[in-house]
Amino acid sequence: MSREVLSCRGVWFRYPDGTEALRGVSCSIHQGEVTVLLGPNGAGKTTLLLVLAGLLEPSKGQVLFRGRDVRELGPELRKHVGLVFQDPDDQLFCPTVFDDVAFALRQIGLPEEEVRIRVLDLARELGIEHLLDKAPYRLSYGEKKKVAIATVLIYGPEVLLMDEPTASLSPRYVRFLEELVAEGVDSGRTFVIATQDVDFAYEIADYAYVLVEGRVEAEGRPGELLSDPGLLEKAELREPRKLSEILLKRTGLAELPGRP
Amino acid sequence: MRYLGSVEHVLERLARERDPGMAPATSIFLLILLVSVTAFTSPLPLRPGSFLPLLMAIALSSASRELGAFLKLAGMVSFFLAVVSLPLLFTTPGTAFWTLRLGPLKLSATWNGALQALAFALRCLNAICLAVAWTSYVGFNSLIRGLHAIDPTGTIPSMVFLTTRYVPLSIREAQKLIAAREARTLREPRLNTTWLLLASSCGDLLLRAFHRAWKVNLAMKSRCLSGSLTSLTSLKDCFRLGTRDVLWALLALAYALVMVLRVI
Repeated sequence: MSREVLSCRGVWFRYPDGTEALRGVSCSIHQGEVTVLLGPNGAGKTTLLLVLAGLLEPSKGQVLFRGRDVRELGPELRKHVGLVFQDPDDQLFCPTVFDDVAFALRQIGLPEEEVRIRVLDLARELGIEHLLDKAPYRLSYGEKKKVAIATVLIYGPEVLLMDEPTASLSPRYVRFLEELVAEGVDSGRTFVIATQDVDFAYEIADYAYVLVEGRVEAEGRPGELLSDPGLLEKAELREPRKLSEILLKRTGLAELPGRP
Repeated sequence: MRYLGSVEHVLERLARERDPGMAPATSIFLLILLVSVTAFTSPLPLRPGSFLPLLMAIALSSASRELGAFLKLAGMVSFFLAVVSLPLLFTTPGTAFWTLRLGPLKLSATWNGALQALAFALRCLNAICLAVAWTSYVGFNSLIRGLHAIDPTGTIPSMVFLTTRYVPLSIREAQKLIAAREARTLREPRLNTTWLLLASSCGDLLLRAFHRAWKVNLAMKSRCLSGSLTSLTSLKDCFRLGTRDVLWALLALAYALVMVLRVI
């Protein structure tokens, strides 16, 4: 059985305007697994990611990284847990892509030559080499997303939290992301992905949590959760296409005339 | 929109990482010296020396391959200075050469006023152009690192660093806001309507920029692996002087003497 790397117990979080974003959420993230957080808009997925990353402090409850309270760990946690924001414009704030990717490395005081080598290597790997001298806000949305991921991958965190990574993106980029996650898992990296893209979640996830109004409504294997019509309706989700195809084949409905 | 775009472009060019080949402390101290000497030395009566700062600024911008952006900025600054210094024309006593009658109000433009306005505008233009040209030559980042020589605690450098990040973000938010409003005005956009739109959306802009800054702060925090924004330079690095530093310091001193003693 895989080891628990990140977890939260009875976490509550309230924004200054009084919005109760999380109401006693408990979850457990295991090493080398892909965990997805599913749920409608405003369910608390993004807040949960920010809390897991140690960027927001819960009003009640505990977040643990390898059994230690993240409050004790402080900034040390950031080396182990990286967060890719939903909107890349929030993530990219430097004048050039190179500076943005190099930001974390410069912060830990690596020599400039090493920073250069590492950035170029990663850029080659992700196919963003040609963007390094450009200003981040001049890039296309897909390019920005790739750069945003590079800014976190550069320092190799063992847990990668991603907020809606497939939102408003082309199928080609989604494939790139699926490959990236698969390669990451092969090298032992852990992923926590907040998404509403059920096809993507079904394709890559090992485990899923369904959040509704700041509470965990259900948890389990994605195949089980995403075939529960009651839960899907409550979480404003739909059945993944692949699962529908399987069910259609099983019931023989796929063979009916008029269906492609 | 184009105006905001140009401002953003200039800021972006200034913020790019450069290697001026001089110690950060030299870059900040020479900036202070060059700008203060230029700002506090009266260019009147108009002499060839009055245009020395502008010539230096052009030379520096050419050296940093930013002449185009510099000329744009100089044009923009000149326009603003002309507007700002206009009241001096009418408020300075002296021999009137033109009178403007606005009902019971009589405004007389004087030769002394014209000279004062020209002196003020030229002094500001010289100082701003030299500051911008020097910044484009050494780069914003070198100046921020140099600030550690003035404030070793790092508070001021961190604040300036964050400002260089947040100002372009606010400009981008303003652009989005104006674009969204313009798209719904269903009329041909004009300069005055754009300014009206911008003025009417100041409150929204403040809130949006604040929200964006909060998110960016979280993103920055998540990548500040040592806990807080660390300075990219030590005090020792700040003062690592070389031949180029000495040469630039001598050149700046010569410039200061020329300006203060009014040699030319």
